[in-house]
Amino acid sequence: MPDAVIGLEIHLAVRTRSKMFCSCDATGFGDAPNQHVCPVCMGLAGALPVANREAIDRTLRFALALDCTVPQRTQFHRKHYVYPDAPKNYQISQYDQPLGEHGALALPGGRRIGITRVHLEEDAGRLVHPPYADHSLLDLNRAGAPLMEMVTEPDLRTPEEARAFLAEVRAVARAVGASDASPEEGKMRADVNVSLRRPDGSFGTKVEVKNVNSFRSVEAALHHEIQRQTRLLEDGFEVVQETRGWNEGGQKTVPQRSKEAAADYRYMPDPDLPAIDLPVAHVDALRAAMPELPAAKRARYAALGLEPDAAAQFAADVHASAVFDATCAAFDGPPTTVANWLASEVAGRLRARETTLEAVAPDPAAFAARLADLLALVHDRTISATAGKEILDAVLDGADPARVVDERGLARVADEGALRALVETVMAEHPDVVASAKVEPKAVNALLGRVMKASGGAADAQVVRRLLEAALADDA
Amino acid sequence: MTDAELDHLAELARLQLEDDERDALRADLERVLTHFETMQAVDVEGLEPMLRPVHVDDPLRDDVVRPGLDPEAARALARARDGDFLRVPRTAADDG
Amino acid sequence: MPAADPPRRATDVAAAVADGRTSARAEVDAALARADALQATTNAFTDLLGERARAAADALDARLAAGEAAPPLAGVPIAVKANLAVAGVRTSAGAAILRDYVPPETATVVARLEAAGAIPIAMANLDAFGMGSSSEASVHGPVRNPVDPARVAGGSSGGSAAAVAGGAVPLAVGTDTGGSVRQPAAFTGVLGVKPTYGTLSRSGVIAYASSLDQVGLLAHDANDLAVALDAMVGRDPRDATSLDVPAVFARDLRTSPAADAGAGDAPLAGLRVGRVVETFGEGNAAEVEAATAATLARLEVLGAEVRDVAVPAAPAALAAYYLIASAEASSNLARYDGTIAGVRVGEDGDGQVAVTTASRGAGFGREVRRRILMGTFALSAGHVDAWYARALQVRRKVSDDLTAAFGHVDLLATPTAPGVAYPLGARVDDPLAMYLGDADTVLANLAGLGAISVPADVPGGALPVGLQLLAPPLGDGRLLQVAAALQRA
Repeated sequence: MPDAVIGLEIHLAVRTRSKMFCSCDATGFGDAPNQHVCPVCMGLAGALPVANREAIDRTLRFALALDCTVPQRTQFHRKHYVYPDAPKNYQISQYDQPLGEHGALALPGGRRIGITRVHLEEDAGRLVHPPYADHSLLDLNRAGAPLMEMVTEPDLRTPEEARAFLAEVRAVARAVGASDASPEEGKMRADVNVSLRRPDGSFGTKVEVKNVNSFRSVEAALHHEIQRQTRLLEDGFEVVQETRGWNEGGQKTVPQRSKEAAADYRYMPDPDLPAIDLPVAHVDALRAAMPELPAAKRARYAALGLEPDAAAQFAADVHASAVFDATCAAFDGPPTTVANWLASEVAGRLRARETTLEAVAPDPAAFAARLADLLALVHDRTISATAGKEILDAVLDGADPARVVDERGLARVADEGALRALVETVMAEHPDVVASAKVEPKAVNALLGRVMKASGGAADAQVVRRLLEAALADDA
Repeated sequence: MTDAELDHLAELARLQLEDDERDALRADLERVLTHFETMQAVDVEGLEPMLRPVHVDDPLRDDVVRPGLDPEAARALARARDGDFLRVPRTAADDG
Repeated sequence: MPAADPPRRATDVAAAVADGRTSARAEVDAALARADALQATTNAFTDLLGERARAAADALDARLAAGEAAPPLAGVPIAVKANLAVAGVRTSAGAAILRDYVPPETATVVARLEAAGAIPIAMANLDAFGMGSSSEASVHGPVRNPVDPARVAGGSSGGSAAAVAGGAVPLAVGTDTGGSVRQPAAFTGVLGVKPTYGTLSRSGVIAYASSLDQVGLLAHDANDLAVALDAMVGRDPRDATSLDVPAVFARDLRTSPAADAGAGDAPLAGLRVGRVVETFGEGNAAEVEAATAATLARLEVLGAEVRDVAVPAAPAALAAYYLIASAEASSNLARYDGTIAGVRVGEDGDGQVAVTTASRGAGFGREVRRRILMGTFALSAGHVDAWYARALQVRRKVSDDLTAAFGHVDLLATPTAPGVAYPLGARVDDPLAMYLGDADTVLANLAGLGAISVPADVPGGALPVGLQLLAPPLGDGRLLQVAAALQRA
């Protein structure tokens, strides 16, 4: 595989209640078309934009998390192009004073990928193209929603790296609360640029691939495009600079008819939107309030003894890591125990219910307290692990573990007096096994099994074993 | 200004120019632009472009949802509609 | 209840309505009749709002009868330039492409006037989208000057000026991007004020050039302007460029020396007026030079000190204005493509580019197209630095020069326009000549300053001439005080 030179242009829907330049609901994408519109986002005559403070702050947090430099003053520009999904036939975006520049984000392996810039803009409406029709359909619910755009330096080298990078971007965006960053909901979209490195080390002709709607597709599109370019060059042809689309069905990139050869966007600072001062104190406050980022979480979880995969999984999920951290804080035992329970038992039950932890237990601290109690009961041997798994569903639904154990009588019996009586009963009932055990020590397991069965599984096996061994020794 | 330049501007601006007005328009623009060369005589060395006449201290808006237009009234403003959608001519370029 | 012979002042109407000497309905009916008559000779209006106005008047009368306190402009009939949106009313901006546009919401400043009791009785005619200086470039036909119907009323707020000058209404709302309230005021012999940029919300004003547009007012009486401004000012959350200007214009006018000056008093004592030398001289018509000199002399009689000042960048201001205005206009008008709320030409099957181009071609007149092309040119790659960016630098220079001039004087004075109202059709084929008429008024828009045109002293029967005064930022109260003093003297 020849060395590829890959850059990404990523759009993320900013997590706000209202749109970027008007007070329409920004969260109603799935509602009836044109349900959330006003003169501003419809581009009606006389309507004026007013910028959403929260969108700016969240984008700043994202830019800071990406180690970007933030300017002292930022402004919006108009980017002119004529298309039905842009009601004003210009998009309010940013040009030469973006919210963040010259940042970097490390891949999980550690290599830093340069971030050229992060800026804020408004999203376009949604066009639907009925097949074989002479018209298209326009829904403006999304028009004017706040959108972050981030552009990377062409520092990525392989399709796998690109995919890993996208996952990391998603994790960071979620960690700082800037975006839900879910490609499946259309809240994270990526265009990829790829060229092949020439033998002399310089970058070859760059091809842009658009309409790649999932991380998996990004990887596949890059594989295909690298192959296509390689073959072209091997056959003696040139790679043409163009924009191609990803055809999901055919799993290939296809040429797109270019909208405008090198469009002249005629960027103009938006006179309706005064320049926005970003005082150092404000930016510093945002930086100081930055939550722990995924990379730092992964390192911390690795230090706690978690396997890399588990560490990565928790680090990428804001709610799960909050549950994990709170549970570890309330539980005396090893973090790996917490991780195992969350990753297998809890996850398994959630899968069976077809839901998420966030949905079932929206308050991480409350659930963590209950889970910690449950794990403590198992850890200090009050109940068996099996019993613990049995009551997990109830605990998920909000029950207090100790009460459930009581109600269902699942507490391990460890009282020596009671157990001794049981041991004596069982030994009396099975003299042949007792006889074997005196000769063959391992046969004590058979006695152990019978005592456990007689106790309905509630006996503390360690105590029983000790009592049996003592009784056998006595008897000898 | 050549015809080609004028046509390029018209294309960017999505303006249909009639043949009979093309020459007149071009002449108008040339005359006006020639006069505007008075601007070139001003020494603007070191001057910051003045985009907006006044500075506004806090031009931002809090993130609060407010009701917009009644959806039916909004849809009725479109020149053509199809149910809840607005109907627009098919775009000749890539359909995504 | 019968209305008295139409009182010329808005405050007189409001007082009479408040006292019960007349009703809002009577005033509105009378105003509508006057407007109807005026329409025949001047074509000042695009629409008369009979039903709406009468309903509003009846509602106000009912509220007053129920004991509600009368608002400051109770029952005052006003005209609204047809580029300010009025909900439910056809607001065409004088343009074919918006010829059947009915906005869903009313412009903030108009809503505030209505809340103060004023009642819009007509939409006033204008140059399409505010682009023009003669109100001839309108899909509704040209406006004729009530003073001489063979001549233009000025533009682009020609209809608003004619409505006041022709006696239909005491107060009209206009917009001013390069002089479009002040110059028609000068051509028709009334007061026209454009306050400091940001004073009046632009939300609902169909935009021409965003960093230059400002709502303005026309009236016969300075106090009417003050009361109306008080009703309209205040930050608008829908306009990020709006300022929080306090509503103290009427109060400040009332307590100023001009307020109860008697004959022989010097109410303007201490006022220093700077006569901008670059705007006087042989570039002006003789009657303009004479009238402005006479009015400046009168200011001196009233106690003001008039001295010459220089604004060296003034001659370059016009070019900078037109390039910036055209650039912003080409952007603001990009949205009119036949998709939403505008006339559409063509079928879906023609494709998006064809429909957009055809709709805009049919919907925009010659002047609008000229400016869009000029603006597109100024912003286009390869030209943006030489033209648009440079124009913005010249703007800075003009603004700096004006600020420096204000270091020595309190107000600046220029003619409002180099000439008087010219015959209809005289300049339609000469856009440059048309533009040159704005040379004096664009200064205020470039710098964002407030400015007023007051009727200058002309011989009886002569065509009106305007003297323009400019104030430092947010110094608009003083403009009204000087206007009041001149009026009273």
